This record gives sequence, C-alpha cells and structure tokens, in this order.
Amino acid sequence: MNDELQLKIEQYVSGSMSEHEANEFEKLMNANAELKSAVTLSKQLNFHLSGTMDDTEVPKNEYTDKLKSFIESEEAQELKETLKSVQLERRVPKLRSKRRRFILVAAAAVIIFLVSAIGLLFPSEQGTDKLFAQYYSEEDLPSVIRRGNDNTLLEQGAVAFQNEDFADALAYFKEYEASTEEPDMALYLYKGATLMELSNYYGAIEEFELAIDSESIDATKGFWFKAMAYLKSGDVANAKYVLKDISGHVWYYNHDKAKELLKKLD
Amino acid sequence: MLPKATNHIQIEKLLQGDEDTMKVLYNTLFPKFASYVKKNRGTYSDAEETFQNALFQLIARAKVSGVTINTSFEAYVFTVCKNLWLKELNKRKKEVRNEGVFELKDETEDQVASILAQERWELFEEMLTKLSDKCRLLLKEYFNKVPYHVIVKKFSYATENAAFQRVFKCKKQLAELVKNSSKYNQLTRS
Repeated sequence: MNDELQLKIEQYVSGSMSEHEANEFEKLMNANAELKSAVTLSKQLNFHLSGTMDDTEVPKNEYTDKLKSFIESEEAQELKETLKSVQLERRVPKLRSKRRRFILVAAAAVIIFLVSAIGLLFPSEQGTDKLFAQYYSEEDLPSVIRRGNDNTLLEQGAVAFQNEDFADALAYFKEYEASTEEPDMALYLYKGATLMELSNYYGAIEEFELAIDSESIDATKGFWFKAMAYLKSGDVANAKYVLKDISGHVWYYNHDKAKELLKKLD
Repeated sequence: MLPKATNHIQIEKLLQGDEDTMKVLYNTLFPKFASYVKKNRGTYSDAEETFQNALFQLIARAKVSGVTINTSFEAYVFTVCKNLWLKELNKRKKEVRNEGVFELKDETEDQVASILAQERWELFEEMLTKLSDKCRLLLKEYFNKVPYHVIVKKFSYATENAAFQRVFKCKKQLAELVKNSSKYNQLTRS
C-alpha cells in the first residue's frame, strides 16, 4: 500500500476527512477488501496505542468456531458454575455452609422456644438493635483531615455525615471517588457508614470490603464495620462469623470488643 | 482436547476446574482488581462480573489454542481483567454517546470478541517491542495526546510536520509487522 493511500487511511480513521471525502473513501473501501482490512487494522492500532480496547466484529473462521463450540460445551458451563460458586463463597465467606448450619440452629431454637416458652436463648431483633447501639460508634471512623487540600470533597462528605445529611454525604463521597485515582481509604469506611445509615447494608459491606482490601494501616477497621453492618441488618450469623475472625487476630481493630460482643451474641 | 501451549501450571489447574486455584485468585488478585475497577468508573459488582468473565475467557482460550505467559501468572491475569474492563468501559461510552448501531450480541459472541481483543492486545504489544525505542515512545506520546510542540522539542525534530511524518512512518511500520504475522490473520480474517 503506497504512502498516499496510507495517509488517506489515517485521515479517515482520525475523522479529519470532510463528509464528502469520507463518503467517497467508504465507497472505495467497500470495493476493496485489502483497503478495508488496512482501515480495520489502523483503527485497532489507534485503540491500542491510546490505551483502550477495540471492539472489532468476530470473524467466522476455524478458530472462532472452535472457541464458540467450547464456550457452549457442557464442560465450559460446568467450569463457569465452579467459578460462580467460588465467587459467591468469597462474597460472604462460608455463607452457604454457615447458612445451612444457621437454619438447623434456628430450627432447634424454635423447638426449644416452644418447649420452654422462653425467647431468651438467642438475641431477638430488639436485642441486636440494642447491641448495635451499644457497640457502634462513629468515633471509630478515621480522621479525614490531611495535609494539603486534596481531600476537600472527602472532608465535606465527612461533615455532611456528622450532620446526618446522609444523601449529601454520599454525593460528596461519590464525587471525591470519581475525582481521584487513589482515594483515601477513609472514603470506603465513611461511604460504607453512610450507606448503612441509608439502610443499604449490602452496599455498605462492599465498601467495608474495599477498606479491608486497601492494605492501609487502618484496613482492619473494615472488619469491625462489616460486623456492625451485619448486626444492624439483623444477620447475626454473618456478624458472628466476622467477629470470630476479628477475635482470632489480636492486632485487628476492636479485637477485645469483638470478643465481648461475640459472647453476648452466643 | 489438550491445551497446545500452556506454560503455567495454574492454567492447567483452571482448565481442570480446580477450585483451590480459583480461590487463590479470588483471595489474592480480586481485591486488587476490585480496587482498580472502583477507581475507574466501576462498581464492586462490575469487578465481580468482569473478573469471572476474564477467568472464563482465559480458560476457553487455553483450551482451544493454548496460552503462553511471559510474566508472572498473577500479573498476566490482572492484565486480562484490566483489558476486559477497559473494553466494557469503551462499550458503555459508545452506548452513552449512542454512536453507531448496536446489535445485541449473544453471550457466546461477546465472549469470543473479548478473547480475540485480548489476543490482539498481546500481539500488538509484542510487535511494539520490535520497533525502535524512539518509535515506540513517539507513538505512545502521540496517542496520549502530548501536544506536537512538546513532541518536537522532546524528540528534537525540526518542525511539527517532521514529527507527524515520523509518527506516520512508525505506525506504518507497526501495521506492517502486525499484518505479516500469521496470528493476526487468525484473529481477523473470515
């Protein structure tokens, strides 16, 4: 392909041709498979060099047929299911086995309740609310005051949170998150606490998990807040699971409190 | 059917559906990837979906054509996940702008398109290493929208036109290298 045609390809791909020129070029391209391939490659390279991914149409050939055939096979579907189950297990560690055990325990509890006619063996909803009020403290949230002015949005969010303007706080936290490549870890805890106040417990837990994964010095606070979110949502089984995890690591935040709370929940 | 060129034991294990290998990836790599997605306009759920699709596509590719990894397994899987997320972002951007006509691709077609995009990405990266250092750097600067006058100064070109000519030649050279590779035909030709 000569330089003149190559230059036209570049002009077409970069969108610097006039509408008329582009229409003429497209006519030429539709009649010339080699030119069409060169244009496709030029576009793909531009995507690659700009750090994005292209979305070229899938060609029909032996290789793509083999891929499709494998993807639709029973073997592939089984592998997909295995991946899904591993992911689900990670989302709430040992959730399924815990839940099964929880159902058995709950059934036993009902029987004991009926026989003994007392409901004091397991914490009632009112009990978990009470425990939450006793153990949850906003003072466990880290300070967001940092040197420099980088965290203004985060600070504004924290102020809104303290003023109980939770919708505003969430908006500030989202804006801060979108404005930075490396958010302060405090964001995840504040955002999680805000979502918890808005009764979005699943969203809150996601944020606390991000805090845990942040590898920052305060990362273990994430476990404590995650336990609090489960407790507030009434999911005692998972609250206990997280609290057991904290109890097993002396360096985790609120290790002693976790042990104490666990005893009250048992 | 045995994988043809799979040089990592972890891929062999993924192919066998080994849950322990999957768990290790979920415990070590997923948190980092979730952080990356959250920092790049995505949610935790986006990260979960993308991570799962990336692993599945890696398995499919390993099964059909084999995968050769020249870095650590973890670094490679992270790149595959990252690229898949970039592809998704690009798709969402187009949808917002309502550019072109969007056909609803079935799931299989979508998975194959992503596998091919990753293979092209690897091929292009490989071919970039065959260019001179100056050419490679020049292309990266140009496509990262570094202004011409900065490029002229940095690479000591006489004029902006001379810089443009050089970019043009470097890209042409890259296109030739890609076009002449047998792999590219497999990824593009019907």
